[in-house]
Amino acid sequence: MRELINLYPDLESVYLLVAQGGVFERPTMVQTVLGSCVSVAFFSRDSGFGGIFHALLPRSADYEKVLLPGNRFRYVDAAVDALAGALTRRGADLSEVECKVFGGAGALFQGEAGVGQKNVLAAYEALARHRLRVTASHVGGERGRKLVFFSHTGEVFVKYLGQAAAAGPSCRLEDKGRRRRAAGK
Amino acid sequence: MPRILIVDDSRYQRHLVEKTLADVGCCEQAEDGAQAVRLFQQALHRGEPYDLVIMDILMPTMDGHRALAWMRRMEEQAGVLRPTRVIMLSSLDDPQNMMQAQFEEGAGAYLTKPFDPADMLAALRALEFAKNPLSADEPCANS
Repeated sequence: MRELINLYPDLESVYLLVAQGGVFERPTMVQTVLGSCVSVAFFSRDSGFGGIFHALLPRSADYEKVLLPGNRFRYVDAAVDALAGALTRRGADLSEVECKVFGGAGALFQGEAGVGQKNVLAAYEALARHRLRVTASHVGGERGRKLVFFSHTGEVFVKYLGQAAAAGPSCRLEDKGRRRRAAGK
Repeated sequence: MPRILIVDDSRYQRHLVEKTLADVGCCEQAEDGAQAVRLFQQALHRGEPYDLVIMDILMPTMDGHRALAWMRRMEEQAGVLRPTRVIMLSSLDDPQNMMQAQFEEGAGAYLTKPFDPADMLAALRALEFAKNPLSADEPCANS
């Protein structure tokens, strides 16, 4: 972490909690920790600023008839709408904005998608609705992630939480093995 | 040094990726999914499986999804405990392809073309193929 702080000294630092987000016009280092929640980092190369949110649930309409303004970063779809709007109001051209999607951890439960998977799908669909380009994503799996985003460069550093092993995939193979073992008992 | 398989039907793309990964590991290339599956199987049988696969989706003969599904099946049959890590690298950025790769086929990351080498490096850091400044520090607090 010290290495990252030294990379851009004197930078403002923000820790993003669940259901928080925003556009950062001043260079800012934004940290957050994700489990099944999803973060989307937006970066406008032309404007030189970016935004990010940390949302908990996939779609606002499934939970609230009328979305309260204070809850817009609680839901993935509403958070994407909010940040797309905020970037546009600041003069960013959405067609050149780069988006990176993170989080959505969680095992399948009896073959059904968990909230993590639903969150990621909601993010991809909302981004596609705004014709925003997803340049990178790092989602799924069973382990949470720590994330650091630099709003003025668009750089994102990610680290899995927990033990150093298994980066990445696939819970799927492990799940099958587990089910098979369970069935054999 | 990690063994890396780069799968893409474009020679230019394979060259770009290999150049980006020059310091990360020893790269081999495949021109399509079918060739990739053959190389993957041979490596598995030799007991020297690839550590990382960079996989395109749209390719002749066999696409990236099918190739990856074959690879996962082979790993399962061979009783591999730690599946090979995969970064999908495609011009497709629609929800269906991104979901399928990461939630059904176990890709650890998904990048879209044209890719920024910095994004590739970030994915490699996250998958523990490159030094990660986040891991060199205090352990993360779970919250």
